[in-house]
Amino acid sequence: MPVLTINGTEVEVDRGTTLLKAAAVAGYEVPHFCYHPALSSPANCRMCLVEVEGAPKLMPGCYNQVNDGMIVHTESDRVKRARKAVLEFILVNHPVDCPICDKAGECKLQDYYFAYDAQESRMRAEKQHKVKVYPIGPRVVYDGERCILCTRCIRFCEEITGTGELTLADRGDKAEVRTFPGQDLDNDYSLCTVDVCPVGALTSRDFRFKRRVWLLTSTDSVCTGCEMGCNIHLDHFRNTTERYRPRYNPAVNDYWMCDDGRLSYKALNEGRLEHPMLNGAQATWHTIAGAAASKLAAVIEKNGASSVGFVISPQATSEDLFLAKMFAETAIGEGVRLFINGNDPGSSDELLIRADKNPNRAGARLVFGGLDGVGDASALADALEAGELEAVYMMGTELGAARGRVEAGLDDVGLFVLQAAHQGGVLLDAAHVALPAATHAEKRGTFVNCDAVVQTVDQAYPPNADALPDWQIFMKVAGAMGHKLPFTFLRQIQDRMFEASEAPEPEETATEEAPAPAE
Amino acid sequence: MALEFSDKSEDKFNEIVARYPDTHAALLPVLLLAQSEFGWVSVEVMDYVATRLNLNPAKVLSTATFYTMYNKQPVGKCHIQVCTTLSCALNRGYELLELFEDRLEINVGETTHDYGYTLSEVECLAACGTAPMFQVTWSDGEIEYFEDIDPDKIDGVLEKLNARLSDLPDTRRMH
Repeated sequence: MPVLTINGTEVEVDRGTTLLKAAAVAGYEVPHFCYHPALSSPANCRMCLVEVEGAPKLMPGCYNQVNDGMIVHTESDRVKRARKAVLEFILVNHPVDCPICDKAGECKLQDYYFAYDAQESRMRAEKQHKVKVYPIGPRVVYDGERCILCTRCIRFCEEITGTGELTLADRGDKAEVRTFPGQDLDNDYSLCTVDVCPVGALTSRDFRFKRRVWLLTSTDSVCTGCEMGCNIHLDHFRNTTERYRPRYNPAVNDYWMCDDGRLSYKALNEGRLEHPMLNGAQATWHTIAGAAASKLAAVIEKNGASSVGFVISPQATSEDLFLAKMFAETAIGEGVRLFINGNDPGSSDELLIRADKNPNRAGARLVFGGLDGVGDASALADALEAGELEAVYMMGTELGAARGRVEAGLDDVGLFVLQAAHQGGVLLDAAHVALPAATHAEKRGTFVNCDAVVQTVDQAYPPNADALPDWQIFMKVAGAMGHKLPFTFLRQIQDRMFEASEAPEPEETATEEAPAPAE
Repeated sequence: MALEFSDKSEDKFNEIVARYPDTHAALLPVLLLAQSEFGWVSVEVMDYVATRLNLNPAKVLSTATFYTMYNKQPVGKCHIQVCTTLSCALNRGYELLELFEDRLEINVGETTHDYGYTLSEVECLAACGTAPMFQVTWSDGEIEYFEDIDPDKIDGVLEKLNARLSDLPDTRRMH
C-alpha cells in the first residue's frame, strides 16, 4: 500500500485513496465545498487544493489519488493563500446575508471564511442579482444568490435518488440551480439536498426561520417513521423537537433519510397526552396506578385473564416491550389475549423507505420470541365485535385502517386502559384510564431495525408534563397490583429483554474503524 | 402541439445520432438541428430533444442555456452576427456593428419589431483574412458568411439581405 507523508506525518493508505481522505487519516481536515464522501468528485470548488512536492500547481485533494512517496502539505502558506483566494472568489457575488440565513451557524462558507479568509471584501462592483426565495420543490426553497454552484444537490439527485430533477442552468455569474420548467424537486428524499448544501442556498420550507441553529441541542436518536430506523440527529430547543437530520451510519442509512421520516418529528410535539386521566378527569400517578390496578384486577377476578386484551405497540422500544411482556405474564396472567397495533404498511423503495411504518416490529419479535398468535389491530376489532373482551389494555394509539372498528368496539368494553404518548382522538374519550407515556425523544431505549441492527436512542429532554417511559408505567401499575417487577435501571432490562430469542449482537450506531469522512 | 421533425430533419437526426457513442454526445448537433427546424429552442423543443435522445430534460436545459448560440427566444428571420474580435475590430468591425444598429434601429442583442432582423456581436468566426465580416443565420437554418465588407456600402448589403426576407419563415410561427 502506498506510504505518503502529509504535513510531516507518514500514513499508509489503500491505493486509490484521495489526498483528502489520506489527510483525514493523518488527522488533517482539508476544507471543501463540492466534495461529499457519498457523491462523485467534480473538483469544481477548488477549496481542497493541496500542495504536492514536485507538482507545479496545487492539486484538488478530493480528486487526486495518493502515490507512494508523495509529500503533501495541506497547511502550507501556499495552500492557505489559495484557500483565501478561492473564498474571495466565491464571496464576489455571495450576498453575505448570514443574519437572516437559516444556514448561519452550520455553514461551511461561514466557517471557512473565519478560518481562512477573514478580510473585508475588496470588491467595489455591484453584486450579481439572482433568484431569491424560489420554491424549487414542495419542501425546499432555493436562493440563487447564496448558491456557490458546488452541484452537490444536483449530484445527489442524479447519483443517490436517480431522479435527476436538478441541473445547472445558464453560465458564469448567471448560473443557477434549476429544474426543468414544469418539474419540481419532489422526490422522497428532497430534503437531503438541504443537508448536502454547504451554504444556505437550499433551505427546508418546514424549518425556515423557526430557530437559529446554535440554539438547538442535538441528541443521537433513530427515526421512527418506518422499520428502517434511519439514524438521526434529533435537534431540539428546550423540550420541543424542531427537526431531524440524518446521522451517518453506513450499516443503515449512510448520510440520508426520507422526507416523510424527517418530518415525522412533528408527532413528538402534537396531540400529546399530558396527564393521567381517570374517567376523563385529571389524576395523579399515585391514584391512577391504584385505580388501574384495582379495575384490572376486578376484571381478571370476574372473567379471567383471557377476557383481557393486551395490545402492544411496534412503536415502543424493546425495553418497554419487555416490560409489557412481564406485565402481561405476571400482572394479568396466563391466557391473556395479545394483540399488536401499529401503522398500516405504506410505500417502500429500494433506498431507505420500508413498507412497515413501525420502527420496532423486529424488536417486538425478539422480545416476545416471535409474534405468532399475536393478533393485529383488525383481529382486535374482531374480538371486540364478538364481545370476547371485557377489558383492553393498549399501548400507543396507532391502529391503521382498523381504527374505526376498534373505536366502535371499545364503547362496549367494561375497562379500557390507554397507555400512550398521544391522545389518539376518540381513544382518549373512550379510555377509563389514560396513562401518559414518553416519546422516544424523552427516554432512552433500543430499536431493532428490519435488518436486525440494534440501535439505541438517547434521551433528548425529560418527558412532557406528567408522562413517564412505558416501562416505568408498567412497573407502577404492576406494583399497585401486587406484582413488583424486579427492575430499577434500564440496564437491568436491557440485559434481559431479548432473552426469549437468541440475542442479536448489539451494533454500535457510530462507525468503528475509519472516522466518518467530513461531509 | 406536439413537435415532430420533418422527414428531412429526421434523416439528419438519425445520421447525427449514429455518429456518436451515446445519445448524450449527440446533444449539441441535435439541438442545432432542432433550432433550424423549429426556429428557436423553446422549452418544448428542449423537451422534444430530450425525449428523442432519451435524456433527462434537465440535462438538455443545462446544455441549451449554457451555449449562447442556441436562441432561447425567437430571433429575426435574418440573424446578423457581427464579428468584433481582433482582425475585424481593427478593420472597422465595430463601425459595421454600429451602422447595423443605426440602419435597423435596434441595439445589439435586439430584434426588430417585425422579427425581420436580430443583431448580435460575436467572437471570432475564423475569417480573419477577410475582415470585417459577419455571419447570417437565416431562419430556414442556412448559414451564410459575408466577408470583406466595406462599411460605407452597408446599404447595399442590407438591400441584399432584405431581398431574401419575404421567402423565409417567421421563427415565432415555426412551432
